[in-house]
Amino acid sequence: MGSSSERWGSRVGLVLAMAGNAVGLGNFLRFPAQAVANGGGAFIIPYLVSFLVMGIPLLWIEWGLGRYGGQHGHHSTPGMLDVVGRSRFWKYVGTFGIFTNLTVIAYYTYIESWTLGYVWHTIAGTFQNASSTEISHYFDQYLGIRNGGVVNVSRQALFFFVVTLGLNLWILSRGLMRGVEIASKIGMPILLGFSVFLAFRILTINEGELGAVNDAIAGLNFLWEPQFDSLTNPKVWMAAAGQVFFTLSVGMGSIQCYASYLREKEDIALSASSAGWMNEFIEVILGGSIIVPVAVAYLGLDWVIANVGFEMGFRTMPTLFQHWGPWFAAAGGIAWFGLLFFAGITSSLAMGQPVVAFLQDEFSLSRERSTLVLGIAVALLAAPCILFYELGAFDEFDFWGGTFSLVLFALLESIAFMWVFGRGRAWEEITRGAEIRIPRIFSFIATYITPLFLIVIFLGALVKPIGSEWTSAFESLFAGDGWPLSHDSVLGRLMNVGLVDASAGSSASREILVRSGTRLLLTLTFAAIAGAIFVAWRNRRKEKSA
Amino acid sequence: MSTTALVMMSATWLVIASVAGVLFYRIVRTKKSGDSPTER
Repeated sequence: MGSSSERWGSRVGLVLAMAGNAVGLGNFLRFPAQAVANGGGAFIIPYLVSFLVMGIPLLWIEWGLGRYGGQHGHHSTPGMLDVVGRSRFWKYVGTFGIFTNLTVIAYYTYIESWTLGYVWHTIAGTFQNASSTEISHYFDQYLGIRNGGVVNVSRQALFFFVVTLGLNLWILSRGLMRGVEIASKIGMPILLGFSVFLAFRILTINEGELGAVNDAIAGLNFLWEPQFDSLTNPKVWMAAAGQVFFTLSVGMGSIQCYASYLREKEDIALSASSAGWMNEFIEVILGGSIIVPVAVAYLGLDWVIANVGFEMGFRTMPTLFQHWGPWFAAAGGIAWFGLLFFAGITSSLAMGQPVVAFLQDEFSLSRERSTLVLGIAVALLAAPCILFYELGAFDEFDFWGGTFSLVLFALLESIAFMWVFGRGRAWEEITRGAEIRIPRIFSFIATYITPLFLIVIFLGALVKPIGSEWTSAFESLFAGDGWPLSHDSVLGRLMNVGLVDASAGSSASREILVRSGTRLLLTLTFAAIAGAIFVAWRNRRKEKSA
Repeated sequence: MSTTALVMMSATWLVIASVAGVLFYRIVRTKKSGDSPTER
C-alpha cells in the first residue's frame, strides 16, 4: 500500500497513537525532576500557562499543517512546507522534520532497549538479594561504561538494542493501521494500567512498612507544596515552557506525519486537544505520583533533591522494589520498566513513520524498502551514540537532534503556517471539520504569542547561563563581569565551555574530539537529507516536464 | 500532607482529569475515523 492511500482505521486509534507519540520517558522521569527543581506545586502555574498559549496552539498548527500536506500527497515536512511556503526555501526547512526524527530515534531506541533489558533482568531475578550499590553499579555494567575504556561495548545492551530496533521496524513495516495503530491500541492501555498499579501501590506505602523511612504521601507533599515566590523567577518559566514543549513532541515532524493521514474534512481541533490533554493526564497525575513518592519513601527528601532524574529510573528503582517481597518486587519491576518500554515504543514508532513516509512519497520506495533504509540509517547513527556514550556522543545527539532542532523547527513552521500560508487560511485549515469550537483568541495567540514564546525559549537555549540563574547572570553582565555561559547552552557547547578549561587532561581532549566529531556527523546527516530533498524535487520536475 | 499542597494538587488533578476525560469521551462517542458530523 502506498503512503498516500493509507488512512487511520479509527479516531480512538489516531488519538492513542498521537498521545503515545507524546507520552514518553520524559513524562515519568523528566517532569517530576523539573517540578521538584522549580518551585514544587507553583511550577504547575507557568506549566499550564505554557501549555495553553504555546503547547495547544502548536499542536493545532502541526495537525493543520499535516492534514493540509496530506491532501497534497505529502506525509513528511519537506513536502508539507513546500505546499504552504511561497518559495523553494521552505522545503529545505522541512529537512528538520526528517533530521530530528532520524537522529532522535537513533539514541532513543537505545534508551528504549534498556527498559526492555531491565524487564528481562527483573523476570530473570538479577536484582534479587542484590545490594543497592550492586544494583546501581549494574547499570554501568549493562551499558559497558565506567570501565576505563574509550569505547563502551556491552553485548547484552547491543542485543536488546537490536531486538528493540527490529521490533520497531517490524511494526513500521506493517503499515499505519496494521502496525502503528494496533501497537498504540495495545501499548497505551497497558501503559495506563501499569502506571495506575504502580501509583496506587506506591502511594499506599507508610513509614516503617516494607522498609520505608517516610510515608510515600510525603513525596507528593514535597512535589506539590507551592513556593509562590518562584513565580517571579525567569528560570522557572523557562523550565516550564521547555517541559511543555518537549513533552508534547512538537517540532519533530511526527505529529504532522500522523495528521497527514486524515481526510480533508476530518476534525483536528478536538483530536489534537484530546491527545494533548491525555499526555498531561499521564504526565502530571501519573508521572508525578510514581518516582518522587517512592524515592522519598525509601531514600528521603535530601536524596531526592540531589538525585531525582533520568538515571534514577534504572539505578535506584529496582532496589526500592526489592523491599516489596519477591512477587511484588517482580510485579513492580515489570510494571515500571514495562511502562517505560511502552511509553518509548509508541514514541519511537512516531519518529520512524515520517522517515518511512518521506522515502515512500518522494522516492517511490515500497514501505518494506523504506523501513529497511530507515533501519540501516538508524543503526549507523546509533553506533557512535552507543560506542562513545561516555565521551559525549549520545549527549550531543540528544542536544542537537532532540533539543535545539526541535525549538528552531517549531519556530520556523509556526511562521510558515501562520504568517506565510496566512493567518486566515491557517485558521480555516485548523477549524475545518472542528467538533469543538475554538475561541477566536487562539488565532491571535498562535500568530503572535506562540512564536514569541518559541523565540524566548530559543534565545534562552542559545545563551543559557550557569545553573539557569538568569537574574544573577544579568547582574554579572551589568557589573562588567561578563555572561556566565553554561556548558549546556548552544554557544557553550559550540565553544566547548567547561571542556576547554580542563583540556590539560587527555580524557577532556578525547571528549572534545568525540563531541566535535559527533557534531560534524550530525551536520553531514542534515546536509545529506537536504541533498535527498534536492534530488527528489529535481526528479519530480523531470517527470513533470517529461 | 499540607493543606496548600493538597489544594494545589487536587485542583490541578481535577482540571486535567476533567478536561482530558470530557475530550476523550467525545472522541470515543464518534468512534470511527471519518465518522465525524462533518463527514456524514
